[in-house]
Amino acid sequence: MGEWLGTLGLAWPRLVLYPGGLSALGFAWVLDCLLVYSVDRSVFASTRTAPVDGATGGGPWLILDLSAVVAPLLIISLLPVPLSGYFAYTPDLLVALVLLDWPWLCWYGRRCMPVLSGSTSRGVAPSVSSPWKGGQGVLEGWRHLYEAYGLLVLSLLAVAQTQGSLRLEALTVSSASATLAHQALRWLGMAGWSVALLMLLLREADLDQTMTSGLWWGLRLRTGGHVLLAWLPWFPLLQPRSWLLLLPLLLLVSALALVTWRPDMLLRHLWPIVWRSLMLGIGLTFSRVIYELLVARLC
Amino acid sequence: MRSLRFVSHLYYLLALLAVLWLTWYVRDVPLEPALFAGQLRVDSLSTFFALLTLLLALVQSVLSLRSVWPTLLLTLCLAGAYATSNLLLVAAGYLLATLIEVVGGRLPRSVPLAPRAIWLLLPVVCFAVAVAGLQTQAGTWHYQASLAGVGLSSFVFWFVLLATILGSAVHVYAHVLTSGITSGPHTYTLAGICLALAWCYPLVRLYSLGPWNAGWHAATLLLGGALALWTVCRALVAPITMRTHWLLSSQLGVALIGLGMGTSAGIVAGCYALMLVPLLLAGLAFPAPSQTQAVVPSPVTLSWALWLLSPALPLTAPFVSFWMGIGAAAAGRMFLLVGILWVTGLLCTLTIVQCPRPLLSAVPGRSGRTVVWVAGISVALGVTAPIVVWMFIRPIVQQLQGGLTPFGDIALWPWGGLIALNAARQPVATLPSLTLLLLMLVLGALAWLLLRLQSMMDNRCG
Repeated sequence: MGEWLGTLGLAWPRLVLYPGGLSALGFAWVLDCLLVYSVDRSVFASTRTAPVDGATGGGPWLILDLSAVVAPLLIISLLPVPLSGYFAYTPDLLVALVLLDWPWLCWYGRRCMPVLSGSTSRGVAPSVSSPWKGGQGVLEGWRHLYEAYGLLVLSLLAVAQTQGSLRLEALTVSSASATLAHQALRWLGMAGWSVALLMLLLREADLDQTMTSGLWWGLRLRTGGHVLLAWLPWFPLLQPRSWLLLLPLLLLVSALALVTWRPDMLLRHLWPIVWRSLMLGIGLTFSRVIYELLVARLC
Repeated sequence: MRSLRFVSHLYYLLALLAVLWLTWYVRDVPLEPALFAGQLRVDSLSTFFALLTLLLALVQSVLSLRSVWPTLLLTLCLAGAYATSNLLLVAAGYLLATLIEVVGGRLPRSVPLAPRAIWLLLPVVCFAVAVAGLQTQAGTWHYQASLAGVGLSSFVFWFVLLATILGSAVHVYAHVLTSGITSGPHTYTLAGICLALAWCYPLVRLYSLGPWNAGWHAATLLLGGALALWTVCRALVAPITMRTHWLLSSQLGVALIGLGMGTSAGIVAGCYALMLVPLLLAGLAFPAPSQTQAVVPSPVTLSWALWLLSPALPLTAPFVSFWMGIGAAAAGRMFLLVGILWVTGLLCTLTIVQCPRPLLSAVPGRSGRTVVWVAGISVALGVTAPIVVWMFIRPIVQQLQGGLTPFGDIALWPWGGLIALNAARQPVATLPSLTLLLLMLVLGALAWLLLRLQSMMDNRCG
């Protein structure tokens, strides 16, 4: 128990300075400045003057807002990014994704509450505006979200299959993948993961009276956390040239920024083609890898 | 009637205490007393299923889903079936329990009995055929006899699997069971979950006979995965009164996936998933309209409570259940199964998270505060999952070790939480639940400071 308490006690730089705490908040703020969403910011400015306790006041909403900030901040603090040191109690990919998406669930649940919206009743699923459509497209918005999440989960499974593990540290070390199918699966998984982020993270909420400071920070930290998580599988490729380690992160952020500033230019027409190709490619390669595994196990 | 119900609650509580004591007593060596000509044998698996059956009966009794006497007799028959090593007596116990289930529901006389009786007796017939096949090939009715393993053939296995699937997937054909019932059909099928959970016992008991064929594992995984995925999809689109049935069936499907893997990790995952069935029944069973009016918690608290019953937060019991299944699948390098469990968990989250809206418009009753209590139990079970695994499930794994393969284990991570290990004892999935909880508390303080600072700056600027 002494070792565990000692590890926790030495974790404060991770929680407060780097990679969590100030660094995470700074990164989230930079991303927010770069990824300019097409929403009316004057509405948001008026909601942010509301007290922290929320428009309806009371403990439960404060806990919700706090949890929306704490969950992604925690997982960013525990990521095995460069220069962060070793931490013995890192969670795995599943826990990381669930913690990262908690602010989005909080926002969705808050939008579903019919009590909060004052005079208007919001008993229906919230509409999510999309930079692609340039307006309020409910069915299209949800379909793209499901597609993005489907591609994300499949890509994560592809990468995990090549690693043989769901742990976060396993993402940052090279695996002894002998066959061409394994290597192709890893490359396709990393590509699918990066592409899925482009649609997953560019779903900006309608900024109205349900958005509080906590949810706002939570959603930005979610974006930052997803970007950092998608950066991890690139490490094994760049280990020999450690000065290039920042390059995938910069490329990912640039791609997100480009797609936000010029949505019409890029993926309104390309997204279905890219999505279908990646799903098909990963699916076929996965089948090939599973076939090889079964042959090795049964013969 | 109320005093009889109170006495039955007292009986269930006393029986629970007795079973808990028995669980501690048989944790190392099964109990085989010389009573009743050596037909009694109580091991960790028996006490585990007896515990779950009693918990389900208590929840059903509290929710008034069925009359007192049928529930009592049902638990007695099932407890008798778990406590014997003679498979013929096990089959007789299940037959009696099924007959009580058929006859004991609160049904109007105009409802035809025959279709329901046939569907409920089919699993019993399949199990009886399997037991007869085992006796023919091994020459013994007892599963712990030295030559009993010889009788474990494909014929026996397929009939036991068929009995398990037909018995536990009963909600899938609930429309046959409830045809003609006009008021409260969901009450009838929710009452049947006790027997549905009991049908998982024969399948796990097969591990006492010996290791399985690879094809048998594949069949169980396929059927369990199909059940879990299909029922959770139906739960997503079902009306509010039917949603609980589909979610309970999905939970049984997840348990079957774990139990079918044939590894230590799989058994841990399957047994933990079964433990959640009483929890989900207590939390998600919506009341019949005749419940008395009571103080209803605020909508925020209700929605919070329902979210804590979904796999949306890493400290809740449903999340730990899915994590265990995924960890067990990853330890066995079955990443396709990981995907199926992941999707099932996501859809389960969406189903439960969508519940608050209809709940707020439903008739307020006792279920409002019950949901809050059950959510607290869910968090407690999730955070103390290592202790639960160590006390209740590790003894089962040790006693069934002869039939399991070494492709995965879920071990306690000292002071951290849980860790899934593959065949080479390397970690493949980690859940440091206690560490996460403590770090969340620390970060909660930091986050509160941040939000206070933000509001001060906004007030100054605005």
